[in-house]
Amino acid sequence: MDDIERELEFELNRVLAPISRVPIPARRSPVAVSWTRRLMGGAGGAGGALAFKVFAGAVAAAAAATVVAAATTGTLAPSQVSRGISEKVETCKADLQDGQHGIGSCVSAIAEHHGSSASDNSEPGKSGTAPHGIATGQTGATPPGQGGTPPGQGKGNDKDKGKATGQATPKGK
Amino acid sequence: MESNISAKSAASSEEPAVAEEARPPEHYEPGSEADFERLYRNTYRRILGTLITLVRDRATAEDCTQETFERAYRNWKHWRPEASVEAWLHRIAINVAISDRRHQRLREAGEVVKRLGRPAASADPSDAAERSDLVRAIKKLPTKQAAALVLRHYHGYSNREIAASLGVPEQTVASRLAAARKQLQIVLADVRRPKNG
Repeated sequence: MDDIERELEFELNRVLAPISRVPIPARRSPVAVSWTRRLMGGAGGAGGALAFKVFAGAVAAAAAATVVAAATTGTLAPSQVSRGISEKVETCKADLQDGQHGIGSCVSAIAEHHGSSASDNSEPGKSGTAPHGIATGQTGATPPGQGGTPPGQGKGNDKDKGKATGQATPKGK
Repeated sequence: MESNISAKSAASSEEPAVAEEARPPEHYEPGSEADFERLYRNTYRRILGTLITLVRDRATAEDCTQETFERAYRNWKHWRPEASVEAWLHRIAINVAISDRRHQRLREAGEVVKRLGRPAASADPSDAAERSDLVRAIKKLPTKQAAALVLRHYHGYSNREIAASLGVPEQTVASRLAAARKQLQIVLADVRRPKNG
């Protein structure tokens, strides 16, 4: 061991000896990072900008897909659309004559007709009922007094069944 | 690493707390909150000792030590028990010191402007490290060279342990240590020149 090594060991141990008596402070707790900051990649920068663009793109794509689906099917409820299509497929199958195979042409004719009808219905003032009897539950922009159910004659929802007595219930009872 | 530390501690009776910290290898469970707290208690002073020789002053070293444990805590569940936990912590600490030195150069430029016309602030007289020529010379070395010297001559690490802490191949460590000692002699001569001359 040469002089510089000896001096290093001696001096470092001498100088750093007081560290051994230093009280150990409480550990600093990590700063909580919000989910938005995580998404943005910390304080910003290229990574954050990229993450934000990807997120915004995904949101825009999802919104566009929803609009296209609603315009095509005439409804926002996928279960109603699939139920209607199932019914039509069954109808096509039933219409098949003996010895005839394939319902492709029948289904594609219905789909073509459905697409043009749905785009017509998306215009204001048209009925909210999709073609081929697919109930959408949307009434569309029916002018006041020209459609819908008159007040007091509606069926109401399940929650209200048997409750609508027409009598006011006193408060507190 | 722990065996090395134990041997060094047994040979020296001047480091009571460090010797207390250098018990036989401790077992830590990655991701365990309690184990991380134990790791913090066991290694805080050793990490602080390293950082005091690498960064500007004691307050900065304490801040960097906390930053080291914050970063370690964030990656605690990814630490692999087969790797030396202290080498892992030192690697984080050295990166924190490198980062701090980089920012320090920017801060110094601003401080020079603020200090214009005022007397220079005196160092804390109780801080032995800041009064030591050798420590001042070590601080002037490149961070990884300075860290290699401290890990070898204060912590008693082997070349393999220093390699793990610095993230370099083991073969690089010996040449880096030799270069660091040579550079230290030059810097030390420069630091001492005004006193002697």
